[in-house]
Amino acid sequence: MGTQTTITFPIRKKCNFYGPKNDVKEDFSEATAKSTLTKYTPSVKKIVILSSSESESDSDVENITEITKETVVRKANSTPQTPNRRKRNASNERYLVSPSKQKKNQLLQASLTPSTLLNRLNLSPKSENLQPKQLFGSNEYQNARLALHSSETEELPGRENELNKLQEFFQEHLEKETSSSLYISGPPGTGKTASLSKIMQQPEFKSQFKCVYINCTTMKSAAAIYAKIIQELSISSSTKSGKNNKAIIEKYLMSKHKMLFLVLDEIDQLESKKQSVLYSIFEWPSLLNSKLILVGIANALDLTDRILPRLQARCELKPTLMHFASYTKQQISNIISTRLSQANASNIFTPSAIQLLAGKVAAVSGDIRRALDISRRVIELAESEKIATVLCPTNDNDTNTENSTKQMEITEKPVELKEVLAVLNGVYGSTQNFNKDMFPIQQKLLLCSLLLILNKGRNKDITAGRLHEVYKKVCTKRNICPVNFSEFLSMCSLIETRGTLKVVGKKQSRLSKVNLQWDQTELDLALQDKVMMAEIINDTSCL
Amino acid sequence: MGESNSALLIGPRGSGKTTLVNSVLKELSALKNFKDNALIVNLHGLVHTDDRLALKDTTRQMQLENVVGDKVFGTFAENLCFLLECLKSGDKKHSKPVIFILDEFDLFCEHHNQTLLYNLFDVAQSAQVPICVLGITCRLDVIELLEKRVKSRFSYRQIYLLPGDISAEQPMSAFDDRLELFQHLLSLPDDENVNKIEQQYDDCTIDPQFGSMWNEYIKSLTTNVTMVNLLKRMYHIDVSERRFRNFLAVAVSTLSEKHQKLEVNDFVEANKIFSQDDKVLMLEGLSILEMCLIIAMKQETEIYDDEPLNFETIYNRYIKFANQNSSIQSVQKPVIMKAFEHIKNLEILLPVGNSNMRVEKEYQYYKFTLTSKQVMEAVKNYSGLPTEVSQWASSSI
Repeated sequence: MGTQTTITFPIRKKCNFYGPKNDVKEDFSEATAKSTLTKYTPSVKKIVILSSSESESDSDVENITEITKETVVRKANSTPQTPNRRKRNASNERYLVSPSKQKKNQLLQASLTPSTLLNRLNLSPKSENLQPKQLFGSNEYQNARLALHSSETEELPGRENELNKLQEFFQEHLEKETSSSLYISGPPGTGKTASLSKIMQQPEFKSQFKCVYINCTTMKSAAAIYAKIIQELSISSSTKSGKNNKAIIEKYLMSKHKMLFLVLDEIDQLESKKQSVLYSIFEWPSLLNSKLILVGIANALDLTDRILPRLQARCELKPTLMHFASYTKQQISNIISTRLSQANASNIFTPSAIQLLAGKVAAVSGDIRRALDISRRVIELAESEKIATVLCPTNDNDTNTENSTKQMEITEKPVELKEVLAVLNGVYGSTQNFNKDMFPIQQKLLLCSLLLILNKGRNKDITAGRLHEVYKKVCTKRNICPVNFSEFLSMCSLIETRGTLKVVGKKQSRLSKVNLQWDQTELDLALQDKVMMAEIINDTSCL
Repeated sequence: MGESNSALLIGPRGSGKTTLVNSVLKELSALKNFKDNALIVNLHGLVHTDDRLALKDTTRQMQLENVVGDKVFGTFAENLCFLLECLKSGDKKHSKPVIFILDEFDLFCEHHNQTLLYNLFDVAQSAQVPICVLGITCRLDVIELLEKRVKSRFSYRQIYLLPGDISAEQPMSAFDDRLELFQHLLSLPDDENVNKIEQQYDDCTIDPQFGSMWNEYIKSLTTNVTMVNLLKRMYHIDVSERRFRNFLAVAVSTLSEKHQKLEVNDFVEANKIFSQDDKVLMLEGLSILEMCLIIAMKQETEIYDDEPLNFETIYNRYIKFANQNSSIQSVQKPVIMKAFEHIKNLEILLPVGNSNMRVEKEYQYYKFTLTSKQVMEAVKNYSGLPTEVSQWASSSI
């Protein structure tokens, strides 16, 4: 145990933004200006010096890997145990005391295979070694922002009907102890998972059912779902291999057990060859006394018809369908206003601002996540503006009199339409804004030549060679020095990274096709503003 | 506050995206609170080419439980499950915030099912450990690469870094900015910054007298007409700072004991290196026979308007020319074939269609990838080209 490897690196400069380190001063200067020899330096938990001949040097030069483990269950948020921290934690009594020596010796004798380590994964949130932050000076803006975070769900306004339907459905099957399957569909951000988790968290529900919730995006392959279900059901599987997993689950379902409630989120991730996995899962409820309620959640409305057509053949297999429609404008504004009123920050938004925001989001996607994100952004914007006005020096001219009065106001300014519009334009506006000098002039000329060919030319498939010819004519006509062909190609690829063009077949330099990716009319309008560009676009003599 | 957020930093290559992130992190790390309580996980799309590698490295950088020394145990599924368990078991108040920085974000979008992105954004959207996901990419249409369920979980916070976006405080044209940058990059540090530099590099001491002289000289360069025109021309082609720095590095590397001042001429020379046509250079290194073949190809494409050509047509055209001029030595066909294949290997000719078709090599069709202007320039610059050949090249058909 405790082997010590010494690797010396020719270190020129310490550069560390990898992991927390306390002994070295953070220094990112010149991180990009010159290539430094960067090195990952995991902070060493406990250095065990075995031989005294080894001189102690700082961990940057020597990388000491040791295989002693503390028995403290470290969480993702473990911090190096400085004495300071230890003291503080001890006073808080939320810290597991560091292990005694005896324990460590026992541990050292235990084999440290990965499996034992993995088995010791016990992620109980006991060992919190961070103090809760003091929410100093928490003002209304912050409250509102916290309330609008998409993770804050207690009530689901606008989803009462669906919740009631689900409740009835589950109650009915619970009383009769029959099994069934349910497929819930709907676009993302319509509260499908939230509704189900709300139902699952009810205490009476918990006591009657054995609940299993699995998100299928975490599966590497479709067949891995069986192993996951077994793990969730905590059935002891005799075999290590995943071959018999399906059989084991089916055997469990046939045997005597508590009513089982299985939720598979993002079920369309389980598509496999011939859909064998999905079929077998949807067939489980029809097994004898399986007592299983299966709920599948996905986005596509027609998933069961499209990829599981065989289910239609047998009536008992047909899953009940349920659709979550996108939120309407009214529902979105309700959600936002209820959340704000819960946080006592309802005067942050003016009602018209909420209406505008809700209307815009409902018109595009009806995704509540997006509505909440946008509202949070709006609050941030308002906050920063407020800070700016406070920091603004008070002069005696007309423009700043308003600001000085604003400083006097103790109440916070509610969000106006202006801020909402600013953020909405950022989210839904086009990326094709030619503001100021977004493109250098030569690139603009290139684009103009392209548009000229597209608008006026007869032959619409454009090769780089042809475009270059036109471009040269355009340039010489206006006494601009044209770039040569290799430079021209690199310019094309520069514009390509902005998503404006697409160059197909890069290897055949002169014959590669150039396609316009953006909307032609929009680009036209953007370039037509400039006199010279407009001239070029309408100049047929260069073709 | 314990909020979770996600953002995308978008801008063309060389617009200082990574520099921005690094400088922000540097400023933050000066705060003790941040330094002790934040975990930073750096992932790079070119290094972590699939989710398995990315996860392995994430667990390693977060120093989780299943890391012994530097090895990470467990399969992909176990690692993912473990990481999510870790992130879910935390809550807003007590756990350390984790900052994920995903460089080359668009490459992460190509992973299978976008598993990693989905899970990261999902954690950011739910009441778990506060995490911040920052994607750095140069694709403007990166949002369109995300799946709908991933897109819904992303917070639509996009920060655009476009070159030439100058804040409204400095009402000046973008090119003046470039001149200023030129002066700033080439100037030696002034009095207050000297000590900082000297601390960084032990063997670097700056004589203040020389420093002020040098800076004066650089300042005079920015008013030089030739210099300004050169910079302007470069700026019109490419505004990114990286290329400009490369150009300056070439210019500065000409300094030596004998040559102690940066002349305007040095910059002109450096610019030549950057703006020359490499195809033309390649042509200048060919033999006379190969040049003749290239000219034959050029004429062939001009007459038949970009139709594909094969060896036989070129050979016939060349032979016709060689027979008319006695000064051109007659060469055997295999030798000409050899020259033709050499040209093919330089990728001046590209095969049409798939080349694995069973076609004799004399009849395999090719496309000619040079412009006639490039050929003419090479003919002009070729030293020791027989006059007949250059006349043949310039003769209009």
